[in-house]
Amino acid sequence: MAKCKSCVVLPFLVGLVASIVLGWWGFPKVLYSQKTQPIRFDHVVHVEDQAMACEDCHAFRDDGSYAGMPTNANCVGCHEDVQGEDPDEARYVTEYVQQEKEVEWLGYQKQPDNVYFSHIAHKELDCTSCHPDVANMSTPPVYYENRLSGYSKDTMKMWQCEECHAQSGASNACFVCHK
Amino acid sequence: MRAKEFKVKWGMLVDLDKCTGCGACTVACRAENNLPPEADAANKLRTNDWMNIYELSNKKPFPDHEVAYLPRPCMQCGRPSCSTVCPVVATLKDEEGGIVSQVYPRCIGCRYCMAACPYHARYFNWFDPIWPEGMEKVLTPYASARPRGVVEKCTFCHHRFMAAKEQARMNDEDPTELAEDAYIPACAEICPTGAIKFGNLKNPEHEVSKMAASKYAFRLLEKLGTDPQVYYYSKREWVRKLGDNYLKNAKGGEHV
Amino acid sequence: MGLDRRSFISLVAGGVAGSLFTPVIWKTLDDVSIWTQNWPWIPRLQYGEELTVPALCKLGADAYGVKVKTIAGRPVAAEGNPDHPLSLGGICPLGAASVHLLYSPSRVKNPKLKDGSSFKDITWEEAEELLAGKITEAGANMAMISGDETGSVTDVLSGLVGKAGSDKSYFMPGESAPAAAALAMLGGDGQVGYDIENANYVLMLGADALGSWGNVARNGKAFSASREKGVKFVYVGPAQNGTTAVADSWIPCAAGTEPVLALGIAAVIAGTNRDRSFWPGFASFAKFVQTSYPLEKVVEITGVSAATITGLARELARAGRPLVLTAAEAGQGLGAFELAAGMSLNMLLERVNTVGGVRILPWAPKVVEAAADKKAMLANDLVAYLSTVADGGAEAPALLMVYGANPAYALPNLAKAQAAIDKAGFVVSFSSFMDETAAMADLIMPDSYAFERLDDAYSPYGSGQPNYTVAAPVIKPVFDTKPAGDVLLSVAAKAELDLGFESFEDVVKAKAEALGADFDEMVEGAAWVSEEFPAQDLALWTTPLQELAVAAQDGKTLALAPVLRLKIGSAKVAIPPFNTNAIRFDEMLGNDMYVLINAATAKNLGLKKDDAVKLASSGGECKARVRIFEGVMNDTVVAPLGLGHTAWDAFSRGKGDNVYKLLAADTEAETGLSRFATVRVTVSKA
Repeated sequence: MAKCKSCVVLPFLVGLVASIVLGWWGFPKVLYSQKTQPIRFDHVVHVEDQAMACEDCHAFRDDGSYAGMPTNANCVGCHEDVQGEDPDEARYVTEYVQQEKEVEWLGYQKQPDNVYFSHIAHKELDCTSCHPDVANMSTPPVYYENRLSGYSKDTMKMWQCEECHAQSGASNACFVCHK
Repeated sequence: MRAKEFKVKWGMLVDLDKCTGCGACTVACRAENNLPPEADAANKLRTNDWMNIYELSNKKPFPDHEVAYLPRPCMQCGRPSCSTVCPVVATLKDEEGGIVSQVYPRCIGCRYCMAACPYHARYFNWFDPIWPEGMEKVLTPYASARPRGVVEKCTFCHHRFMAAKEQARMNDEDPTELAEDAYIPACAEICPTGAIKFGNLKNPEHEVSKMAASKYAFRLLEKLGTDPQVYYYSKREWVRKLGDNYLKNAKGGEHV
Repeated sequence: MGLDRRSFISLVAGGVAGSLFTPVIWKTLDDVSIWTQNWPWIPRLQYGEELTVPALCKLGADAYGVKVKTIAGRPVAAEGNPDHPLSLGGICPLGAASVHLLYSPSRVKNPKLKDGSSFKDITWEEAEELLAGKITEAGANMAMISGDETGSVTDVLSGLVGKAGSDKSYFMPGESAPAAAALAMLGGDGQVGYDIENANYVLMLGADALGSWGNVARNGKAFSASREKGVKFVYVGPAQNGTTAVADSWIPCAAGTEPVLALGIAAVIAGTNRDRSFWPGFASFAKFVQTSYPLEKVVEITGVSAATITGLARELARAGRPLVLTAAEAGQGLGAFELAAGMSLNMLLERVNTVGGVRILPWAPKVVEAAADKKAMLANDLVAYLSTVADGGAEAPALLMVYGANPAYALPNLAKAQAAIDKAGFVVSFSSFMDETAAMADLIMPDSYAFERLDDAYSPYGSGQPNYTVAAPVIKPVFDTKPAGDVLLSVAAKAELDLGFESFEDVVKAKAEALGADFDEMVEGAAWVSEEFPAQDLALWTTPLQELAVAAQDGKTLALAPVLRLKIGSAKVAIPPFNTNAIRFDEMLGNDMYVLINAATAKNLGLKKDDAVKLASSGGECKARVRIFEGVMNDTVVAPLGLGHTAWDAFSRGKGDNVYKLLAADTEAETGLSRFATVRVTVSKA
């Protein structure tokens, strides 16, 4: 058969487009597994209905460290017994509070052990600069876990911290963020 | 190499006239920094000893013999030999305060830095850390657990420096102006005789800088020009003279 | 259109080209590199709120308040407690290792019953029923050994034994027993303590105050503070150690003969022109020391020169507040007369019951009625008892209970001690760890570890003032263990022996009340301290004076100087997992321990560096390697205690040899106490 140019160009273009589509859409689907939080924590109920402030659960401790994920000690003030009709709340009380087990919340921005992050050094920033705005979500967002590295899809990479540090004049020395 | 200048210079001063060689600093360092437990620590070319204690001798026969003990952490040199040779920039002296960093995920384990360090203060993880069952529950959150193949060294308990800054921010104080007792490494904190002192060498009020200016203070291998930030202090001249003595390069483990 | 080869290649090429515009390659590489750094067997860190809670550490002979850092409630590190009088912020190498022992591989995780040559797991119910039965069966034919001189669990155990009708309650050997007996010889009654902080000249006769004697952390802090004031510290002993590294001088003195030196110095001081004739007992004391311990004789026995002896006497007399600390370098082995020799030097210098001198503390109040008095218990010699049982001179106990002690490892006349334990009808160990005694036991009822139980301590030996510490548990027991105090009360009740208390907490509360201490405050970390010292009516020796027995130098043997280095453990605890690295390359060669002799001694014996040698005494044999160290007297060999474990775990087992085997004890006739600080050994090529 006579070689026609289009028979080389077309497959090339098809391959090109196909791999771009697969790379940007298919690859993440394969790379990330979806997980949900162990308990469907409803921020709306707590923030709007119960009129709680963010700092009631997410606050700085006396030594300056940040208590990001509250422990049972925060919750049992109200949830010693089941308060409402939500089956997830009932599950929290029976499986966690009564068993004296802490909920293993999935941290969307979880950093590796060799990274050190100080919330108090960043307190001038808005929380939503880095974190999803869950305050008005009834269901926590889906947690996408990278099957290869084990970290969350939203875990910030080093360049993101470096860029902002460089722009704001904060030090980019290695030990500022590593341990 | 021109030494980098910082506003604060974290330094340590060990009073060898108070060190009994008990080993509490060695043990406390391991506990604080998640060093792996080593069932067989006899082969000193395979162990991990961030804070290592040497026995010094005036080499005279009985009854004129005298003994001293010298704890040796990382010197956090002003002109570090290690960071200049690292091919991947896993170690650098770039942070305010002068602590030489060691970044484990970037280290490729070539051990060039270990060859360069004249104080043998760097250690290689020949093995993966094996924590006896359950003992991983006493890991501190201060230092990551290093896999095999990376080099590590004393960091002057850098995590305590970060914690002191967090506390200062919490108290609405300036994190760059820490009080003398706000940041102190584990070894200095627990020493039963208070032989290890720590502070800002550039602050004339701090005890370390006062004692470092004394005629009895000396540093190890000063003539190499490394400008260490660890000073030693002894009123005994034979101990001070040993500071510039190269370790004997002999068989049988004396060269460690 | 069909897909021919060219089109296919073009398709693939397009695919590859396209992938360069996607994150696939870069992201995959990045993620794979992260994957290679996160192997599943590398532990992950756990985060949480950091708190610091007070705790009590009794791993060595001392008992002092420490602080434990916890993250989300889990203990992670131990440090000194600046508010505790016996820590003042310092911690010793054993205390620094205390948190990791919580998960030591040698922890006994549940009660165990001997089954053939190994153990089978049983429940607490079964264990308590079994022990209660054995108690009833044994009646008065039972004995107990405790390694804890400061805690109330010993009171409960000795109360149980006493209620059953037996008086066989023993402590492991230490400094307290000879000190108490010595004080009695001088007409005193109470617990001996030392106000080191306020002395201005400290003479350590064998007492390794900064290494292992008394309250090590407190001694270190006292030394550091005193140094700045120019206080002089002099160490007298056969070898250099950590204390001599920082003291003003080292005076070489033959092992175990430091008390002889004390009497020699006393003779010089007694001869000075001062009218002491009205002091009770002085005349006969002066006559005794001057006739029995003239300078030449002291020089010959101790190896200390006449000039040094008179020099020391002069310095002591001139110092405003001198203090003499007398002890065995290894923390045990001196007899009462020897302690009394050092004590009488303090008396001569008028340093007893005064600031900066010897302090006599009141005994702890007794809250368990049936318990033996501590003074009576200290007078009971365990080594003599076990040796007699082994030799058939006394009936083996039908029931032997061991608490907080490891007699199958840490006793002199070890072979006899082991034989006696073997002969005992039924042996119960409350050890938290699989130590040598637990390995020999018939029943192990594991005590919860220090940070898992309520614990208390009254005035450990050396304390300059009465003090009492109570610590609440830091964490709930991580294994199926129970605090021994509660177990003993429960078992006693089952065996129908009423000790008067429901729980161990009640015992501690009662003791606190008896002392006038606030239990709740103490549990928060504040130790109770008192300034009250019972009045004493001391006389320079109320018992007939006699010469101290000294082993003869025969030219064939060397004097053995056993030493205790806390970093490798104590009589109760083997090498903690983190302490293996604290063993320097000049202390062990592979799995062999070094023993230290100087070049002159080595030459006489034809030994060189690293030679494999065998040390032998009438008690047993040990294997070691030679290290030439000039900080040892001639004809003396220094050997470390704390090695040669056969139980425990990989961190301790098979390293070095057990020097306790070499300690052959003889008995001091008047007091019945065992003496083993002047052992002689042969050292020969192995």
